[in-house]
Amino acid sequence: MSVKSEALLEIKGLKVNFKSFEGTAQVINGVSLKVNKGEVISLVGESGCGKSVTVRSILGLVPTPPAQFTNGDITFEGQSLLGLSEKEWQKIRGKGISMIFQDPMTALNPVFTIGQHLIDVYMWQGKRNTLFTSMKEKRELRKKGRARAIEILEKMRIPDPEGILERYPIELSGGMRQRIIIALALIHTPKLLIADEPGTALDVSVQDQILIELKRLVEMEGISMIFITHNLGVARMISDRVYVMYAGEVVEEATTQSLFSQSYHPYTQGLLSSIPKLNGQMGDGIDGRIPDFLNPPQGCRFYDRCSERMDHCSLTPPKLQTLSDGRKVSCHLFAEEVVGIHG
Amino acid sequence: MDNYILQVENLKKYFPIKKGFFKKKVGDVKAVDEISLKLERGKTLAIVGESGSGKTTLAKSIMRFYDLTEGKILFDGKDITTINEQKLKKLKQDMQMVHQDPTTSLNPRKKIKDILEAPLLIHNMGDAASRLKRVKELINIVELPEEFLYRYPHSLSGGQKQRIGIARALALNPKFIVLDEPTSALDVSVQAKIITLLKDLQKKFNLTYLFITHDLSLVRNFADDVGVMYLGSIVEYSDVETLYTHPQNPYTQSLLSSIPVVSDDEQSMLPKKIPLTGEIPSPSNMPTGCKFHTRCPFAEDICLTSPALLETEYGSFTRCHLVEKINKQKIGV
Repeated sequence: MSVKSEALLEIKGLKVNFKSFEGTAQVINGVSLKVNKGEVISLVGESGCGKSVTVRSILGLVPTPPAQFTNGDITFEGQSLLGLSEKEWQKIRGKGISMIFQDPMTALNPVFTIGQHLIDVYMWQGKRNTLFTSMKEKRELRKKGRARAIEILEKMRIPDPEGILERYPIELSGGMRQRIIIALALIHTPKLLIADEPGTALDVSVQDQILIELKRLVEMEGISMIFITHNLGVARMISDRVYVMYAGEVVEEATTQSLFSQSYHPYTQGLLSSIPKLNGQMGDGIDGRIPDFLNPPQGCRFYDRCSERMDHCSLTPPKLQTLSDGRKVSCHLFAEEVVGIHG
Repeated sequence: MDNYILQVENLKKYFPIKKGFFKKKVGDVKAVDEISLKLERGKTLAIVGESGSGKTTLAKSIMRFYDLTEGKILFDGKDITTINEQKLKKLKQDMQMVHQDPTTSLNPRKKIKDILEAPLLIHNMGDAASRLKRVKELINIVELPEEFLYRYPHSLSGGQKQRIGIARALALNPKFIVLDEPTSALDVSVQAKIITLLKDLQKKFNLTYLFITHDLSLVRNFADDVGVMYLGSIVEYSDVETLYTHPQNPYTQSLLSSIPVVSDDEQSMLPKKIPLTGEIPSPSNMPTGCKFHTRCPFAEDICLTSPALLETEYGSFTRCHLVEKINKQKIGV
């Protein structure tokens, strides 16, 4: 673990509000997370927990307005990402950080071939190829791009890479399209890859194949990855560390090993017990729904749905605290333990 | 009376592929290819398979949304394969369906009350007052507050919408309900709630379910029997217990081995990982012989002839030439 301790990306106390007609929605409420070099982390949580907004703010893809970054900072390799100009972003996107989008059916442009997609992204070297770029230079670049595209497809073990380059997205199956999208994100060998629920739209057997491939590639190239999923089983399979998000907050953080052997936060426990198990056991799920972001509860955001709520939970919001065993959890149930350590 | 509520014999549903100016038929998409099923009263049969394996077509054929290409369906002892519109409408009182996507299966311009009343109106049941009484009953059955009746679907969450879908299916007191991936669009915490509700309803009203899904771990918790479908055929048919302890068909084994689980205990219950190559072939251009041989890691020459669905030593049925050989290999390892 000591090898992986150098931070590549750090988010500190990020707060994002969205202004709407009805009021201000506090969608991200103080999220802190860290990705070390060569590490794979997962963000898990139900839909509407702010997972996608968190990672989209890393890439500067959240439009302001309506969004407002009211607090916190995002640093990538020591450089703050908030308030970068569009030009500065262009240097980071693709080569520094790149992203795999969720839906393989809509992420590719139907009128371009796979080759055009891949080579186009390759030719983007952080600056526009203008009229002044000589034809020769362009041709060189295109040639290199083609070679690189074939190389990356071969690395992904896609059969007949040369043939695939000539095909249109519609000719490929969902699983193959998802692989192409992964190849697109990896063509510049980024330092950080953000994967927003890849494989969710696919069948289990295909999803399994793709996740195995993705994990292998990321390890081989030494890329760090943030993996977003609502499927805890997938998180267990792919990541080193897991952040559990609920209603715009990180409620628990732990290494994959320790989280799945014992979870602390009632929300994590509820999620885990809701998953149908192979021994025929399944919990009753979690009552209620995510609170209204326009008017979030004063205390703990999980209060209404929590099975172990106490009176003061509705009054003061808990803070993410480090426990004696190094785990982090945001829940009043564990407050005593923390007091115990300090006192 | 017969113990089986539904019997399906050699059901085939082919969709013609037409080409050219005269729309000449050039082939068939064999969506459902010779499927036989028996469904006991009060039980749940799960149909599992990847997308494109024909699960939904099978369900819709049983619901008689389609005319069959071949085969026979007996519902409650009556042959319903070729009955006319009028009788079919009457039949729908006994068989209902819960659809996959709760958002698109509810009319956004109708209030919940109207949505739940629709089946009663279509079947000319009672007067306005008694219909309202029934609608109120229904919303209580699915554990939602009565004030929801005067809301529109968009103000409900996904789980609540699916409860409305279930209530609508229950409106006519059916005996048999087809559940077409009722929880695939929902979060796990909500899914657990819906499954619990469905189980309670089954006990309360003695319902029979045909449960269409791609989620094998859910099947373990919900169904009594399972049919695994691949390219329009059933490749393994078994009770739930046996399917998980002794999966026979290599396809079933590979599906099971790719379930993402959340604990080491569960991981140890799964068969060893069987890597599948490629994806499900197109049903318009089906492989000859065993349909799975193009992806099967064990395939041999014999797999070019089609296998029959045969009983195994564990009492399940499987469609594979090499079952015994594969199992021997495993014991050897």
